[in-house]
Amino acid sequence: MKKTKVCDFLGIRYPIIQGAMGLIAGAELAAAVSEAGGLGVISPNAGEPDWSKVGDNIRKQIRKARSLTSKPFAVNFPIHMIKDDRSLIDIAIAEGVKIVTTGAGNPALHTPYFHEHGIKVLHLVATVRHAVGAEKAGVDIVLAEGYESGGINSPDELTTFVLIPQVVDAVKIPVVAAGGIGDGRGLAAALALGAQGVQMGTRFVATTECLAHPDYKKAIVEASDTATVITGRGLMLFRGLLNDLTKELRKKELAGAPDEERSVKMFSKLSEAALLHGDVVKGQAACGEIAGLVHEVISAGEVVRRIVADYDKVVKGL
Amino acid sequence: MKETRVCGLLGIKYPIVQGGMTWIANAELAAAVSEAGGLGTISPNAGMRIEDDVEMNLEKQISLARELTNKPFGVNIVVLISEIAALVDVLIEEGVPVVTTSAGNPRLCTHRLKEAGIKVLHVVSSVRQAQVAEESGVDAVIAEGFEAGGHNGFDELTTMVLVPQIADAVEIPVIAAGGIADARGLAAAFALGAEGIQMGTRFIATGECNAHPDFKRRIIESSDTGTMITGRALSPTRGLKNAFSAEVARMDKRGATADELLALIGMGRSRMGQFEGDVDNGELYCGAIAGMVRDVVPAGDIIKKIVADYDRVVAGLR
Repeated sequence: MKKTKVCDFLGIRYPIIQGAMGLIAGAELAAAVSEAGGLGVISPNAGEPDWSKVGDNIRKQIRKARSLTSKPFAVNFPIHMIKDDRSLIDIAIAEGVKIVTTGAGNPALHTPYFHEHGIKVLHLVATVRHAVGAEKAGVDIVLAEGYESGGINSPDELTTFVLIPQVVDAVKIPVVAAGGIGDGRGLAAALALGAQGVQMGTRFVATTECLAHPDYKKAIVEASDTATVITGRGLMLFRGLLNDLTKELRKKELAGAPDEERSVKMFSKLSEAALLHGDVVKGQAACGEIAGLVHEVISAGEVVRRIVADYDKVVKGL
Repeated sequence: MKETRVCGLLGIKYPIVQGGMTWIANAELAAAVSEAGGLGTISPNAGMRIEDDVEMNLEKQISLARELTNKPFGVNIVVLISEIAALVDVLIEEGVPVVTTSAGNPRLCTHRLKEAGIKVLHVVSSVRQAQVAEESGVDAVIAEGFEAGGHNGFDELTTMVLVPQIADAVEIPVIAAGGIADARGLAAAFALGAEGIQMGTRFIATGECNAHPDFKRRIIESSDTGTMITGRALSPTRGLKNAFSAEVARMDKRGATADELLALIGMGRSRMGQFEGDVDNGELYCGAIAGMVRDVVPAGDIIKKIVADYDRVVAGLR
């Protein structure tokens, strides 16, 4: 397939970025994606639920990824977790990281600092206003993420199909589409809408290299089109597998239960239970709507190769 | 632009279907779309008063459309309304070439319509519904995503995830609907496996549509975040944010009953907003793509522009 602006800018062959799924996007997955020509991204707490140990974990993950690939990879920084504390960022700088993805917070907070250290910044947005704000803050690329995506979601509920063209029209920097993409058709559709690349999370969970528990991967592979649900509306929107936990939350929301009855206590414990320990019945199992299209656990490199091969076929048919 | 199975099935030049928006999909709009090579669609109650006879109004609309074009056009019927059998009688007597059916069981009308030689397109919002529609004998499914205006599926599947999963699950052609307003959207829909598109919101902002000018103005002034879903517990509906939607959202939040909501919405609330132009107190059905609609233009120009831009979009993907 053709190279896009995103490929040239990041020094990658294919404009396919792996989402930094909290707890499970570790060095092995990131390295496999990067080796296949995409951009792998490490989550700071990959395999390490204790946030106080995340500094050591980042260092360990970066070194491991570097031992597995000489190609570019990135590290993700959720801004709401680090706030104005740059100690984790400084570890990444010391380890020679050249690309970061950021989200869930103000991009003006750290973007200039990253740039001072020669680091490229991709920032996650879910509305036109946020994209324009991110461009003003100096980020290099926006990751525009639609309502279909798994995990924490924007209250504005804009879908990939309507978000991408509107963000593309509003900013000059490249746009990467995220949410609802799982194959070559999705990549071609995203590029048709004006994106210069895609980010995929759910598809990369169901890979051999991902740290996710086998039962969690299995649940994604077995999921149908209607297997996910949004909960936490009015609090913190979250898309995950429909299970005992989320069914109950959804029921409360539709019945008009007050916020305090719908807020998830021990949120990170419930995520850990699903993602690392495989409790997909009672845990909080982040998952995008595209899960219905994910039919098998394969290697991350194979995901990239299939998408690229399908892309060329799809475009020929247009 | 390439010809798809939808073109051959419906006898049209371009696989672009205009949504049959209740009250405001009038004969003039439908005829203009059909004249331009797409498929115009009439709503049986276009332009009528609430107390008028819907069968007589439908006959009037059909004969007006026939005066304006000799090309094929369709009529949209809502399957679950009480007058459905009488409306089907009218459609058969009049020999309407195409009927789109929505909001109800496709088994109810498909057989009678098809016996009369009428092509039937059914609106679906999940894989299961698409399979049932195919088993019922419909000629094509209209796969409508969460971004679409008006009444919406309960499962909240977006166009990006719905279209490829339905394309994989049925043999009949898939027409993508929801979130499409330009050639980028058409190319993306094709990439996902659709063989046509249906657009509603884009066709409201046209000179021929009988929607009130103030409603059209609200659409063209809308930003990306200008619409919202209300009525999630009973009948999810997407419309422009206004005083009325805020009131319904407050009732949703406290878990109002169906009776309470019906008492507020009453009869003809959407007519009040869309046709009479009470844009604060009326219901303004509108898709999430409204932020991309910038002007009121002739319906034929929309089709011409999409067709002209399509090849450029596809060339950019190669």
